[in-house]
Amino acid sequence: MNHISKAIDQLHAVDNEARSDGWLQCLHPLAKLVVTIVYLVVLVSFPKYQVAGVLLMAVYPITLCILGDVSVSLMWRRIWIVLLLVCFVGLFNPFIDHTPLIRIGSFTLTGGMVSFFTLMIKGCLAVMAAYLLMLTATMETLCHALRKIYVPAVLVTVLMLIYRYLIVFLHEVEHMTQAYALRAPGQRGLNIKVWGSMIGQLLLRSIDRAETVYGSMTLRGFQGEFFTERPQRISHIDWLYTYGWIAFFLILRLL
Amino acid sequence: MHMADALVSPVVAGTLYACSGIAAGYALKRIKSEDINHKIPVMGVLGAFVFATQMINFTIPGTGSSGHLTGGMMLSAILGPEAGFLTMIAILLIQCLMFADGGILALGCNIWNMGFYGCFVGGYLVWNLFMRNGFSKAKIMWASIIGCVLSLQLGAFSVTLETLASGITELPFAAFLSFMQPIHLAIGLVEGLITAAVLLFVYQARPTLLCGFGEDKQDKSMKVSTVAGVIGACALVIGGLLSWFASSLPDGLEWSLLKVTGSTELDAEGGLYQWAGEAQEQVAMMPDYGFAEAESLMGTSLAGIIGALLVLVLCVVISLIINRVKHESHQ
Amino acid sequence: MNVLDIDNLSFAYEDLPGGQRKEVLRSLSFRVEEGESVGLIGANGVGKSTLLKLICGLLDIQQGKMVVAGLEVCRRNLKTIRSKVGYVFQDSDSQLFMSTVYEDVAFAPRNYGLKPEEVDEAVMRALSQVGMTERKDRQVYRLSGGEKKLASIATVLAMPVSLMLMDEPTVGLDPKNRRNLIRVVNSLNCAKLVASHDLDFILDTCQRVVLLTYEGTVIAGTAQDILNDQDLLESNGLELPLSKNYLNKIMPQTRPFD
Repeated sequence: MNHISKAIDQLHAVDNEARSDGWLQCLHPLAKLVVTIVYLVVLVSFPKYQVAGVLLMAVYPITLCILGDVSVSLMWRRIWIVLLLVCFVGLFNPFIDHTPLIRIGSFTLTGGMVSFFTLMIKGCLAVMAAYLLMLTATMETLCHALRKIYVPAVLVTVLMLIYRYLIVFLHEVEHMTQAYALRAPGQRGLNIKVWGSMIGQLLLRSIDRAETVYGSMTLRGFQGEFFTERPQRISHIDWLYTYGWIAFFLILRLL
Repeated sequence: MHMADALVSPVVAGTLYACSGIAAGYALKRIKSEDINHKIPVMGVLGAFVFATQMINFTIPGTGSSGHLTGGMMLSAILGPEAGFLTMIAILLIQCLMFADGGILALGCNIWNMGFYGCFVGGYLVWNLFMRNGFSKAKIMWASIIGCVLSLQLGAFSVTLETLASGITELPFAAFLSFMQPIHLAIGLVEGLITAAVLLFVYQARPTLLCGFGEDKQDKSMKVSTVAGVIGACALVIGGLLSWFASSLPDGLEWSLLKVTGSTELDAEGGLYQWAGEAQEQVAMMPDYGFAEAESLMGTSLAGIIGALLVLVLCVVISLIINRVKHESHQ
Repeated sequence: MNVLDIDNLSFAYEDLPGGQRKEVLRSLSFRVEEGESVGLIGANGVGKSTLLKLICGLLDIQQGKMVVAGLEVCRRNLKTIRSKVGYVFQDSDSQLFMSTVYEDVAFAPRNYGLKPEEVDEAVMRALSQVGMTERKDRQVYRLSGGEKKLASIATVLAMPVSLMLMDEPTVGLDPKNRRNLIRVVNSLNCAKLVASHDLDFILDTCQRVVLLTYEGTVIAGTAQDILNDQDLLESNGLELPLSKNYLNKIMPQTRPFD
């Protein structure tokens, strides 16, 4: 099952990118999180026929990708998958909405076509914004930012544990499915006969591991929260970055 | 069923975030009274387990296609609905951030559609209903299948409502529904079978791991208030979203006014009414339940679009120049 | 002074499938002195890991008495005992649950309320003891098996421990990493109780050995005495250490270790 290896590689790649020494990576994670959220809110608030405004919103991700030397190749595959889903939802717009909007010579762009195009652009830009966040902030720094905005400690701790053990379990699942494939040639996935025993065994081993992790945490004084990264101060550049982009988004929206 | 950001409006996203937030707050309150320090590592490790098993292809016999596991029902059956729900939130957050599976804004919707229905409807209502008088293989199987099917049907229904309420698609409600429900019925059946297979294995190997196993009947009884809460929450969200399709025809009061006065509104003249009206205009953040629509200077004209494209190209060029200068100065 | 005092300890697993009960430890008594290194050996399933978990309070004592660093092992003393006892688990992935090496080693000091400067000092001291200072910012999933084991030891050394418990520390290590681990373990000043099937490792790191028998009792002695006694080892499901076995084979006439 090759897609598991690809998922592991993607995780490694995203993590590497987030730990590099670019200026974007050095910004405070809270600044990046806030800007991303505001960007998304403003982006999706554009009415369905507002092509110009939505196109201008592309300034943010494109500028950051270029100036931040962020790897765009990691995003493309994800963008395609999201675009497919968004396409399915908006596909019927051109056939239902015939409101004439823009005339180019004898050709009329209808409302349906415009709204479909706008939807696709929004889909693309939203994915880019989310990916930029992940490519420029490690999970630990993001969790620190989440705590700053009062996301409960329980959730953040669970999030960090899932992230830590995700690769361990992906490797286990990869080995398990490879071992299965070597003894069941020609089969694409797991046969129904082994659904229960294979996944059940993995579940029981997971619970045993969880108990050991709990023991390990307790022995080292665990009180219910992970005390994360050495706290990073918010600098003037972080404020400038945050307010600058938010002002830009709001101006675009209100124009 | 992961919704992308482009498929929701800020209002719908905000509403579902609020609903999911309330459910998460309730779940947090409930598990804090239990052994939370012990639960956290189990939630974390099992969350990673569910995440990893979501990548496995389960071959569906006789069809040549494969199904996948979401895991909400399974997590609830092991951890309990509250801990299961919180774990699902964390899983969805990582999927959203690391794999762009589901948008950040749409996260509230995804948590509700997959987490809430999976854990509270499937994992609490259905599971407890079946197991209240003891466990058996048949009960585990049927609870898993019915729980998964029901939660996925509700989830798909909610996705339809949320997308339509956001004004994203022109597809009529019935048509959209006729796409979504049958597909998710099939998905729900497959997930139910996978969940049943796994839980049956656990029941045979270590039954005490299953939520509620070995407890007194009294302890297992479903509190009326909690059941009412879960059903009420579903009704509120679904009903609330449905209300976005409210008829433009006058309601009862307005109809009465129309018959009596010839208008659906009464004229309000005089100092107090005027002052109140002006104050409302100033204060109302969402007049008529939407963001204040600013008239666009560029509108949807061709000139506006070309102008936007030009600005974009200019920004790209400037950025590339800055980057080039930066690299050259480093060398 | 004794760091560990076990007196008449018995333990049984209740509530096994089918309502069974399995007695694992039976009237165990032995001691570990300050700074001493003791090997804990025995066949699979005799209760080595169970004993280690009882010492640090992960399992409740059912019968008998245990005193660790002058404190009786009971619920009221658990927090203090756990600050003085370190446990290096067999599976390093279960021990290393933070994202980076630094964060993992800093976990205990932070939880015990040390200030950030003190945490930093404790972390760097622990990492330098195991030779991992250069890898402090590395993600845990990128570490090799040997590096994970050293990082696991560092997580325990971050707090000043009187007794270190090690459960199968050499599992999965290649020869080079194993030799490095021997060097690191021998350089530690705290008392150590090392549970392992790797009898050569026990020979290289421990002065005394405690053998857990199938009956749940102990036979204690010096490492040389116990690990030379082929009959004793074989009757308890073990064999001579490989080094001794090899030497016996190449020098069968003299059999210098009889």
